[in-house]
Amino acid sequence: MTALDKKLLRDLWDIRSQALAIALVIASGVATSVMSLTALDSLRVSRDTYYRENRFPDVFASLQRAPSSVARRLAEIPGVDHVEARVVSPAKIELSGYEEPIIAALVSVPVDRLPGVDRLFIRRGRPVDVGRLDQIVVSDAFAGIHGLSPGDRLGIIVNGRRRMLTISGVGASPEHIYQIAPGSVFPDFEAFAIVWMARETLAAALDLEGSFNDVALAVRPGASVAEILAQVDEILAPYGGLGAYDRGNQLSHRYLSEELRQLRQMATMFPAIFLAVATFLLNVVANRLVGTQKEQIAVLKAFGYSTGAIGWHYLKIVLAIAVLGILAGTALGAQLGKELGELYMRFYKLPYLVLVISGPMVLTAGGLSALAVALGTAMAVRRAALMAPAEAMRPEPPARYRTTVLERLGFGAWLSPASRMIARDLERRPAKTALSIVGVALAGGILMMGTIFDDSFAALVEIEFRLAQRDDIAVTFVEPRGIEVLSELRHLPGVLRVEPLRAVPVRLRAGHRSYRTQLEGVNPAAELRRLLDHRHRPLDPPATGVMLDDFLGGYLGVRPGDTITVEELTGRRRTRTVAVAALVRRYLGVGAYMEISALNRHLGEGIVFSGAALAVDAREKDAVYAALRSRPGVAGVVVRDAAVARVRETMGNNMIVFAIFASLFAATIAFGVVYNYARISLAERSRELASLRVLGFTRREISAILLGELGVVVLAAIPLALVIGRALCAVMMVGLQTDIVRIPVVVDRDSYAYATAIILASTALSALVARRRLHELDLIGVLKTRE
Amino acid sequence: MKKKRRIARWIALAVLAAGVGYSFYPQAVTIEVVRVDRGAVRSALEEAGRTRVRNRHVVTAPVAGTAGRIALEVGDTVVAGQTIVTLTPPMALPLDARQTEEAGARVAAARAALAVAGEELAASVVAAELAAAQRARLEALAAHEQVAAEAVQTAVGAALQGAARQRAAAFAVEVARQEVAAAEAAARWSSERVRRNTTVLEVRSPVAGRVLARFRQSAAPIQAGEPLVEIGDTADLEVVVDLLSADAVVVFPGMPVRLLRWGGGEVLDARVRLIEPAGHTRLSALGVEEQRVPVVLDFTSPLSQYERLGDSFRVEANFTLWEGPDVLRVTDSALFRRGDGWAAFVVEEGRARARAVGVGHRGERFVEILDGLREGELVIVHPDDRIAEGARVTWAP
Amino acid sequence: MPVTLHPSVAVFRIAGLTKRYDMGEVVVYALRGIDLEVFEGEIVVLLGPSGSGKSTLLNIVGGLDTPTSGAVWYRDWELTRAGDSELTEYRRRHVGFVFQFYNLIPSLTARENVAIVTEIADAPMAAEDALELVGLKDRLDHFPSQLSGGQQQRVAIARAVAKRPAVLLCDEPTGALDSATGIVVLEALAKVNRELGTATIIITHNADIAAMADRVVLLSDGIIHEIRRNETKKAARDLHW
Repeated sequence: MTALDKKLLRDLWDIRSQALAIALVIASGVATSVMSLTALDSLRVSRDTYYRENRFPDVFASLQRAPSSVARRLAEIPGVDHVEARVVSPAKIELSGYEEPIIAALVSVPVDRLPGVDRLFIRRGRPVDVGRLDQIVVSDAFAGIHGLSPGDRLGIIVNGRRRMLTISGVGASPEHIYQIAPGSVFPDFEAFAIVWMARETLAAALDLEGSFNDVALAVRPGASVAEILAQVDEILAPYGGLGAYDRGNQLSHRYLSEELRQLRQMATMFPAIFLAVATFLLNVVANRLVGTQKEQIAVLKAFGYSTGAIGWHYLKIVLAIAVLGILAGTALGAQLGKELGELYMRFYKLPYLVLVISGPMVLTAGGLSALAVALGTAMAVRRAALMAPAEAMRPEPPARYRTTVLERLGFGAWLSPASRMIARDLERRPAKTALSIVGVALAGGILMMGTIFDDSFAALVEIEFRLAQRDDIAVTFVEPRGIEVLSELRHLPGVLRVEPLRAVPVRLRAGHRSYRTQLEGVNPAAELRRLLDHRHRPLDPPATGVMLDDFLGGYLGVRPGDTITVEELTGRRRTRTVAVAALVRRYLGVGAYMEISALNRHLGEGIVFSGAALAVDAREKDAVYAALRSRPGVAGVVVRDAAVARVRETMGNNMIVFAIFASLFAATIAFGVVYNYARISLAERSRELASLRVLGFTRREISAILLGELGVVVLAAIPLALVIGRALCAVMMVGLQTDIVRIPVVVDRDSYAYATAIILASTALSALVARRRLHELDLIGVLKTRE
Repeated sequence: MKKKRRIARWIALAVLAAGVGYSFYPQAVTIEVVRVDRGAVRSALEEAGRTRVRNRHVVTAPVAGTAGRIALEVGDTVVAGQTIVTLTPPMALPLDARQTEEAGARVAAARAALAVAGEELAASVVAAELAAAQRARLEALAAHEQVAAEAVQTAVGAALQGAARQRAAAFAVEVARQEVAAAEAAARWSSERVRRNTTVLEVRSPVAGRVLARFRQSAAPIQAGEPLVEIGDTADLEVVVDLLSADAVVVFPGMPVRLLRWGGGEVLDARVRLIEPAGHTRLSALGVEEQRVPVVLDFTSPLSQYERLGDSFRVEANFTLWEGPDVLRVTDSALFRRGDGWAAFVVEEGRARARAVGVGHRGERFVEILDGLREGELVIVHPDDRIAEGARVTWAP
Repeated sequence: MPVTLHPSVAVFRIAGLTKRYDMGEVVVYALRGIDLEVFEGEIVVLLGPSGSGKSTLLNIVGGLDTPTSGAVWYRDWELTRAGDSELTEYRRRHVGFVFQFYNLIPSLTARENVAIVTEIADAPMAAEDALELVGLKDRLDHFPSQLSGGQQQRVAIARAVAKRPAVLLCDEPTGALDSATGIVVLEALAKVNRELGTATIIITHNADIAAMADRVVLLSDGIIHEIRRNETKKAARDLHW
């Protein structure tokens, strides 16, 4: 090894603690990147493998009913590989010992052969046996929560009749990775199950022998899906087809894709921040290093080392730190990525996780980091390389100081000389001061993201489930019913209030844009279900016209006063134009709304309702559940409080994980920035501080001066951190606005305090560590040196 | 100088501490409030029902023959004695003494029925007058609050029943009279047709009213006793509501009822006349069996208000089970269960305080408060788990 | 302001002071047994070539360093037994330092450089008075970067004496200055000694400066060769080198 390399190693050793701090920051950035990308790739590959192995269909369609012969016509559409005609139905589940309503989606499976599409993944037990048509396969998430195993029996109430069926197996299907009950937005594995049963059994229960009401198709690669959708619609229209859709609109696939997209966003945003901070830190350290070694550089140059060699030497120091960080970050990131992937796998109930750590991805992440680092320190290195020897030998002229702004404004008397030292030092190098403040502020901002997410989500739940929806139970009927149904519900003991609901599937069109959603009826002067405007005030529906969620309005490009086309997908299937009366604000899902009697008139089917929202006496709720369960006309029952509690728990856990990560990373950045600042300050002022010690200042007094400077930087950073935190969150949230969920950016007051507290703690810790160096001040040596 | 610096330091610390303290100080929870006030609480029972023409009569063919075409349409007005249809006897029908005797016997029976109907009418007139007098007397006493409200209600119910029976009896007399006329006509016709070759029998409407239903239109052979048309006086309507048997028990004759959503704008008034003693089984809207009891209501609003109503029109009957015109009340969404009783969150000095509440009757939107709340207090509606005892609350004005 | 002096009272008593440095395989003796007394109000010049140990001696006397053996008493306080906080206290209250490279705080003005020391003293003179003493009344609010070397050194002197120390220790005060400026500085030192009666120890390798001392201590190789007494002190302005 050359002498220059030995110098390199020793120099590195000299600045080891600062180098370590910076390497930590780089490692954090690389780790976040590798973690997210590993999880992302693993999830994607796992999902794609699952789709492939279990034949996730390409095209889906629901209809009223059609004879099985129609399925053969579907198979003849060019480009279609497989057709699986099936029977589906909502149902209620009776579970002994569990009072709350459970709804299920029943899906038929053929028992005499493997289905061409959408094959089940059996986790435990066996598929439905040919000879035992009373068997079912139950979704594994539901079975897991309720402790069900093959051999257990389950009461299924379908079409008004109750049957006891035996569980033959527990499994999953790629069509139901995201299991969301109709009318809900979040998965609820406790109150919603998917049940697969023999086609013959289900068809018989629904009086659909020899018919089907749902179909899934596999499409040949290269075929035009749009063409096939159009043809399917044409064939199924006379049978009450609701409109075919492809994977992009399939609920489970859509939700999953959204999640992966958000993960990708995280994978790019955080590492960018970390690397920015790391680059800045390295820049400062490198400059400092070069500054202190000016004479050495001069000597080397005088003795014939080329500019390139000197530049490369300093670049190597910087790269050594970067490489250390990258390696550590990659290892950590891969491990975390695996765990994150497994977390997601358990959350989504994917059958398995294919762990993918792509070499190119890691190399890219590492390479980008190294590049960023090198670019950031280029200036310092260049300065080192290009210094003329003679100039390098000359001592630095004394730094020029000026009175600060504060003093000129007359506050001088309020500052002690020590404070004035601090203030003037900060003003003398505004760039360094400003960047340090920004560094700490970034840390604080990241910290705030964790709590802001939590606050925002809590606000969303509050608005949606406290202001907009205040019912205790939401009931849906198998078929729309007349006004007597309200009276029947009101008569149930324990029911305090009943508000009718009506919803029909429609397609909205404005110009060239269309969207498929539900048109819901709204009661004027309602208590339980209300619409809110953008200020979250209840909005009474106007007598005519349709209202849209503002997100949907934006998507379709319409404003109040414009007209849109409403195409009914069921019933009379008419298409009419309606005026947009107002825009409403919701955060979960999107829809269109109309005053309920206007809707009934519009649909021309008389006064009928598709469901009801109930307020229930808490003491009688079990009785109400039983009454609803025993009524064949009731298709689904959702207990709001329970659902919200479960959503809170799920999301809450996610938030905690996210918040912990964010806090750790933020603390790392804060620590790194402050520690480096402290060390560099110390190095630059050791002479001053030693002189003061000689003059009789105690250690406490000079550490106060050192830390005082730090304190000003941190205190200045805190308000900036709060601003940055909000801004970062707003940026992230914008990317998260979808038609599924939109999260408002809400910051509770205690978030500010929390972020402040952690920043202060983190910086106090690093300052104390740096302060130990103060004890090593060489009082004597300092008096004999010039600088 | 030093003092200034020390002051500056303390100020800075104070500001920081204040900032942190303020930040951690729990935010007030945003809620919606409503005031406890005095007003009307109405406990009601609502059920769909339909109108019914009180007295209907089905005109049947008195004898076999060929009935001509019935020109009358449903909704046409008929007067008493108006010809409904012309009956032509079958061509060859040997006459015998037995038939003549039968015809005569029928006439005699009809006359006897008329006599009975007449006596029933006389009896019902007396009963009706008695009931009406009783009602008048009790209502006068009630004006001085010397009798219980229920007694008045009962008397009113009885009076209404009496009047109705009288009307029915009168109607029955009319019908009987027409039956006599018809039997006599049939008998005459049977004997006369011997003398003439063919005779036609005019079937006439026994009463005035409107055609409610027409059972046949075209000319065709007809059997004796087959229905031709149904005639009723649509100005004389009642309402039938099939109540759940559990509800029928709480309802009593004379109970005031409001009729809504019948198509006209105003709310019509009615009273319960009769709760039938037997129920029947019906399938509910959601598919379970229920026991229903028909309850009959009489209109108390003037006819001019509901003359557009016809037979079997849908109305919604809202039975007032209990009415308190001026009681302490609060919106029902302010109450929540606490153990076996109810409680509410009262806002006191900007904080939520839970209080046990004694509730009385429950109306549609309001609940009667017996104790626990005072007039004018603010209570939280739809309280949820964010609100703890003593929590600071705020609301939009 | 002249103060009452007791020229026979020893401010410092140094006995058998030895300082040894172990640098790996090499052992260096900076001091090999020094015995010395310094009296109130006198100017003592420590003269010697580089490596003679004069700086080491000054550092130990100033409480910045500890000897390997021997003792130093400041009045009746044994410095060599004192702990770090006691030494800090000692330096704070009783000693004024003047260094070769001034060691001013570059971010403070002249006045503030003096003030930073007077604020931690018990009964200091006003910073402005100290600066007037050294003839810098019109440079109160200048930063060190705006002052010449000589001016900076005079500020350092003002800083050192503003707290009315009993002792003034000067390590090569004119080492970084030209002779003309150096004389100005030495004049300031002499004036301070006259007016405040501070015992002053000056280290130098410049023999001409020794003429202004009361006594001259000749040091070389870690021991005192000779202690000379100057019958007549030369005024600073009469020195030249």
